[in-house]
Amino acid sequence: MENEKKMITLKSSDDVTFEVEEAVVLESQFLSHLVQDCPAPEHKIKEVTGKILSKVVEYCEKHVVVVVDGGDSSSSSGDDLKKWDDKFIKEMDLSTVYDLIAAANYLNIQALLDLMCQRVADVITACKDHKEIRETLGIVSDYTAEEEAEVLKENEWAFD
Amino acid sequence: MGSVMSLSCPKTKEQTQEEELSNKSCETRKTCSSKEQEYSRLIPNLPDELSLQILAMLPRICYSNVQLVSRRWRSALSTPELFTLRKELGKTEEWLYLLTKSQEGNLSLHALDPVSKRWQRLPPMPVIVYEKEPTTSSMWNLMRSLLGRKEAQVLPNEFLADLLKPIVTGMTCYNGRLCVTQSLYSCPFFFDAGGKFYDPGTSLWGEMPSGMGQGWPAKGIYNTSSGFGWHLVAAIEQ
Repeated sequence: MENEKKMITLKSSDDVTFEVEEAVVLESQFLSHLVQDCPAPEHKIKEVTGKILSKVVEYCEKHVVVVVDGGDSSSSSGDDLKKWDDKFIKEMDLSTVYDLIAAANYLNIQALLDLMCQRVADVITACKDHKEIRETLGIVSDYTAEEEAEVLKENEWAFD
Repeated sequence: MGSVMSLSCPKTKEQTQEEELSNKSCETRKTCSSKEQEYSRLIPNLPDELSLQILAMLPRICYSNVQLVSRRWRSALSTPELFTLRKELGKTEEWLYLLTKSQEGNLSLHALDPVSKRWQRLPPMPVIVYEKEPTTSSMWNLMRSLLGRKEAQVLPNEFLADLLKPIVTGMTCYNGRLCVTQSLYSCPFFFDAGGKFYDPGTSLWGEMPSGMGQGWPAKGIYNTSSGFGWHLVAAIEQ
């Protein structure tokens, strides 16, 4: 017997709508409270644009499906999910990653937040030196030349 | 229709929260427009709270690069909050620390990251601070109690300073820092002299809080005043 799935419409700040199953919405703690307390069929999310909300929905839909199906073959579905996550983040530029971090934080989707933060951490780790980290993340150093030289000197002999 | 139904809903906690958050984010946006504000963040596009989460995910071996990014990054790496976050995220690492002594008698500390298999040399540990007045009086009390004498002959400070050799009595890890306890030693007496801690976030040594190093590990076994070679091994969870 198949239960009829409850559908909920999410509307982005720029009025793009997404029709999703309730189970997908429940991935977000913020939205699950919202739909429980206010059972309207449509919810406007003023903080998130259509572009970012589509990514959030894509992520949540994928993760809901795997969790539901993964009863017997959890290990293989876990691996598949990991592969899917890797592909999901590899296609993204940093500004999208930042927007997704903000959205995941706002909507309280911990797994998505962790995934995106890890992506930025991996980008930092892959940089060959501090100058590349600055360039990649657009950071302006507040070190004076002397201070920087001093810290650099401390580092030099650490790996001799 | 949806919006009509939404309107008919009583104002929920979440909605209030949503409004508060959106107000907050408006404020954030306003401040963001100022470039100065933006540059004073750890990562320009993110609130510091989230940037800290990212920093907590970095492997410790890249701290040497990361602390050079900016002064703000360097100080963020040595905050207790960062270590707490690392623990919460399960991102602490186990490093191996070795204290060695050269033939010339110089002590040096080395750290091994088992994941990247890289060795790192720690900056030299600061020499023990010998505070003549309090140390000698405490030392004297200790000697007196050990010898069971009530009235003891007062020894000149210079004599004690010469007699007492600073030694390392133990190494352990606490809250993401390497703690090294020190004693002043003159066979057969020991006097706890506190210790130093090493902060991997800034590569700096600091004083251990007073009292923390007292009565710590078995004394005397790490006497560094004789012989040479490997002396101390301690695992650390960072």
